[in-house]
Amino acid sequence: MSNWFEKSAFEIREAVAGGTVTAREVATSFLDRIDAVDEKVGAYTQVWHDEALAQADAVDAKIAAGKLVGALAGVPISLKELICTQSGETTCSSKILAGFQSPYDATVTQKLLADDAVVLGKVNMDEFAMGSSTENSAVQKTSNPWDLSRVPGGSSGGSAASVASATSAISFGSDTGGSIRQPAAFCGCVGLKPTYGRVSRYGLVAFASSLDQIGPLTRDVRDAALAMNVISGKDPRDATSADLPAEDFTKKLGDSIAGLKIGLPKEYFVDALGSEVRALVEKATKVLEDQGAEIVEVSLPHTEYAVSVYYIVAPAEASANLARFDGVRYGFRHPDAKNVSEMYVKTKSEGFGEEVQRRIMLGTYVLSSGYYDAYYLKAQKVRTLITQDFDEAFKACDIILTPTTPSTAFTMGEKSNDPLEMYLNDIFTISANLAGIPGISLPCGTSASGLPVGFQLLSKAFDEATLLQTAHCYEQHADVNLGIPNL
Amino acid sequence: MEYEAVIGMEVHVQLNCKSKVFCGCSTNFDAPANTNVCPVCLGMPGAMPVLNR
Amino acid sequence: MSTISRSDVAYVAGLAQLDMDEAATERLVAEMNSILDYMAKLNELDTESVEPMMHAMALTNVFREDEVTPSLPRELALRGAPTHDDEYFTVPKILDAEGGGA
Repeated sequence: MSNWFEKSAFEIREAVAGGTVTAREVATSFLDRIDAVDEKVGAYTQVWHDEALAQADAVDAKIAAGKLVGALAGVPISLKELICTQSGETTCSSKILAGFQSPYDATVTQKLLADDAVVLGKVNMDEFAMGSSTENSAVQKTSNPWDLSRVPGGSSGGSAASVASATSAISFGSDTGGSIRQPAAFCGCVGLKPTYGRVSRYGLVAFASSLDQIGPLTRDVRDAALAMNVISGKDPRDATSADLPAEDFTKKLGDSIAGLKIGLPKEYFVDALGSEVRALVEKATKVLEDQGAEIVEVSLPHTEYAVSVYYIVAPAEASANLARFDGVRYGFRHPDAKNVSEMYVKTKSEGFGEEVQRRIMLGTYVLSSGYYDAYYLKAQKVRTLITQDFDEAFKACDIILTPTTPSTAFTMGEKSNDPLEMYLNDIFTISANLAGIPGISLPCGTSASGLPVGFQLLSKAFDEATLLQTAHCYEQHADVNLGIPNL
Repeated sequence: MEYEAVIGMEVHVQLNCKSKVFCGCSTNFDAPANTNVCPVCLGMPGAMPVLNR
Repeated sequence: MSTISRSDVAYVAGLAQLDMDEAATERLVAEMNSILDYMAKLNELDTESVEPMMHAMALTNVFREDEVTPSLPRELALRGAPTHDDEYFTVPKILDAEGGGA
């Protein structure tokens, strides 16, 4: 008998829909796997044993009755703590939302359930998605499955750790400055941030509304395409979702990339890039070149300003988005307050963690009277320049190839004392969010110490099909198979 | 001492529409408390407004 | 750009409705100065003639029709509140005993 938790979502869906296995057997295999290994990894904040089995039984009943089943029939998935679900809790790994039961499902949750996915539970994250290591969770620590003393990356660290340790076939995270791609690179899985507007944000607890996107973390590229088919599309409840016809993201998988132009931005291959990462990214480039891609050098001259722009724009938007957590209608309320204004202050000061408070302070400062032009307006102008860099570069190439992170996963506590050093970890991923374009991180090998290394592909807005085609071509020809870590 | 007059006006208008400005909840005046509310107008985490035409 | 003082931190904390003790204020003065120093890099660029980018996509206004859609059942609307009665969210009194307050 095969271990179903080792299979891809595509294989599981085929087997379930074809009647080779029941959705219940698959769900049980994953739930047993969670019981066996997640105590060490700490990816899950909530495991929905009974509910997952009930969902699986409903899928099996549909199949038994000869009904059509959805595109993710019987596929066990996990959701980041900030995607709203009527079942269980939606805490954003924050004390301020401890115990919060959402009265509604996010659009993405609805779509996944409608396509017969089986939700195993919710996974850990940096509080309100603010962080690059998942160390900012108020709930628990999550370890990198490849080395338990190291971080899984963040903020979607629970998602990446779960997919890497085979406790879910697909996990849905969110990416504001690299929060899907960076943990995917650290944990050795595939992570896709779609174009801004491709996936509805309704029911995604907002961090920075002009940058946030939900996306999948998966074991391979085909699963990422499969997941995109389910979650993307116009949503009348999200005014920023793009009104485009439904697209099959698997349509170009397997197509040749001969003649495709792949640009290497010279600003990304700098001293800060570790030599092991550089060597593996260069090797990945060679694989694509051998498949007929034409490698060209491009320039993204404003890259060095991206971190500054991001850490002005994102905290500014966050300070507005987080103002609603006042202890009145939901979540935590500080118990000792003489009056309502004291209640607001005590609730926020006690309910938000250190990094969240730091970003609220930064955001409030850059938006405050007298500093708005110097910081916020300036940052929005440089954001225009960064976006124009990509417009220019995509005149000379179809896909841009870069490292995902400067280094491999760092050890817990290594960077948690210096916020700026932690912020610089996002140096290669932030620009895609600022420009709104899609990006994918793929494993391209392991370091000498056995840690996964990832590289990133970027495409023009709404060209996920070419992005996935290129990524799939790489995966088919690279012979990089990390397998599942020993736990 | 010289003074500069600064005059601000706050205008309240009840629009003639069936639903609220940012969500589809009814604007019916006599309803019991907290019955014409939804995730959007309660400012629930993750909810997003869409403007009434 | 400018240097952040302890009183700046206290002022911003007030705007953000956050309570900062001595230690937290000290720490934020140092951290915010270090972060904002790094951001001063943006001043290297002349952006006089550059339009600010407020959103990742060119946005047009999106409207919905003026139609009533179902509201939440009241129990569900009130369920997550730290305190509530059968009809309302409840909070500590808005005016404190001395008659001041918010």
